[in-house]
Amino acid sequence: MSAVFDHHQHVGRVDNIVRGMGGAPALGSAEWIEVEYATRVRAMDRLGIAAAALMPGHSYPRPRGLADTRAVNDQLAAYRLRDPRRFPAIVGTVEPRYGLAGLAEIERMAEMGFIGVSWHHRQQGLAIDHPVMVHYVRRMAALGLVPFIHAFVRGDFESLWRLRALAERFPETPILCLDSMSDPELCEETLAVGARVPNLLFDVAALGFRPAWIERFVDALGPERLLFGSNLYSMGAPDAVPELDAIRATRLSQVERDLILGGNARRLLKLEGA
Amino acid sequence: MRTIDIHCHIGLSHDECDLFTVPPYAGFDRWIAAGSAPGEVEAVAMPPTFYALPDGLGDTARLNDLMAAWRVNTHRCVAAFGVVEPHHGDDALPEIDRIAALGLKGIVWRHRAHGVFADVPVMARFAERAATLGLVLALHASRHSGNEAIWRLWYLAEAFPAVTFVALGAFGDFEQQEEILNNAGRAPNLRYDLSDLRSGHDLKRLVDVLGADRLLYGTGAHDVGAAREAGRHRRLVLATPVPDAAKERILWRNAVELLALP
Repeated sequence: MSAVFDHHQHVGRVDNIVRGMGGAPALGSAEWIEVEYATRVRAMDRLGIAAAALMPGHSYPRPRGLADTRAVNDQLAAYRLRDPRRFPAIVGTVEPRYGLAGLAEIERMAEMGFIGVSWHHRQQGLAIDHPVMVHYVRRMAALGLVPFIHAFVRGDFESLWRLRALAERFPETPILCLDSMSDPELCEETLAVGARVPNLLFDVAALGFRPAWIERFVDALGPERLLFGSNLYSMGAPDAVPELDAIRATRLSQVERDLILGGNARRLLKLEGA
Repeated sequence: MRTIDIHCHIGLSHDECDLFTVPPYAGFDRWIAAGSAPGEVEAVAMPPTFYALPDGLGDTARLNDLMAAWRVNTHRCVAAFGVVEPHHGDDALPEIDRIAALGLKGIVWRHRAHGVFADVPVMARFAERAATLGLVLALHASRHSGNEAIWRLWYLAEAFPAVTFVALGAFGDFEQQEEILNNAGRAPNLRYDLSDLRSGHDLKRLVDVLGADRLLYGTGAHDVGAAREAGRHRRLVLATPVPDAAKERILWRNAVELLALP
């Protein structure tokens, strides 16, 4: 059994989504980050998660536009340096509403060692399949960055059909779809889209159902395209992650479970040693 | 009959989501001259909903300045609205003060484009500040956007019962129209514009249930194609079998009272 790798952890306040924007910084003071780090690592130890890729929360104040986004990405890079063994990979973000001015930040992230860029379009005010996103993904593909794209249920701008439209334009570029297991109907759509768009990979975050659905995914699309993600946010301290329990409870082989619990992510993110 | 279109976006492209680039100050005059073709009715101008924001508050402020310039330099424009971004948090509060100082009549939000829920707490702070300054608050309510869900608008409006809010584009979907008609008592301080309204039959029901006092004529075109068809809304109101007094309220009198227009 290999160590669990979680590609889907947010460094940011989940309460900003429903209770923001208070004008607070995306993260917080140095003291706050100390507590956040300790809380996160304790949770990971408790859950048996060996390592994780980190991405920002997507609902953060940005009155200064790109400058605020750069600061968020810089904070993430600094966070990783604190413990590169536990956090061997970071995934930044850039706002589609910045238009083509956002391309420079994608290049900066590549230079800083980010392995991907994440979006949660419902929180970012532009659609997954907007022309700006085509420019962003084209640049990322050239730089070897992986797109991490959320597709939560009833997300309007982050609908799965929009992600399909984008992914079909870049058949050689692997794109990781997050949160599409958040609803039974959406899970059905995931299987349908996944069968037609082979460069899409999916995670189990926000899974709202039983292990049998994971087995169904593997039957339909194979074990190589499903990844474990916890969707852990800052200060989250769960005693259990249902998605993790569900994977462990499947009747899949140990090889298949290991792929889902970390092997696929390590391969996708080129982290074989992590 | 006099007509005031209270929902008239400027800077239209072929798709609502095309990112509008706010022109530099030196380019205002030329941009306004190019875009201010004479229209048929008096109009309340609203900013483009999707505009590029690489400079954050700076882009928003320049857009609000453009709206103020548009108001002054466009003959059929009787009032104009500004915008502030919820993702700018409390840093946007001074921009609300500036919107009032610019002479704009209100603030419009399109939470689908803002990327936040319409009822996040910062919206309450925005509403409070805007109401203090006498600004009108208008929010889009497209059915397909969870960010703009009508129940979120109701909660926000009900938190400020003495303030008048306007829901834009709420009647573009049968189910949502039914939801509003079956919850007519929710947020009585919320007015509805008629953009996206589908038929005169629907309008008669709205007048019967909500009352003409709560309805405002607005075309709400978000792209150039829709703008070409905007005249049908007025013809639809005029053809609907409701009393002339109701048509008058809908087509202009409610707008005059709400925006304190001559």
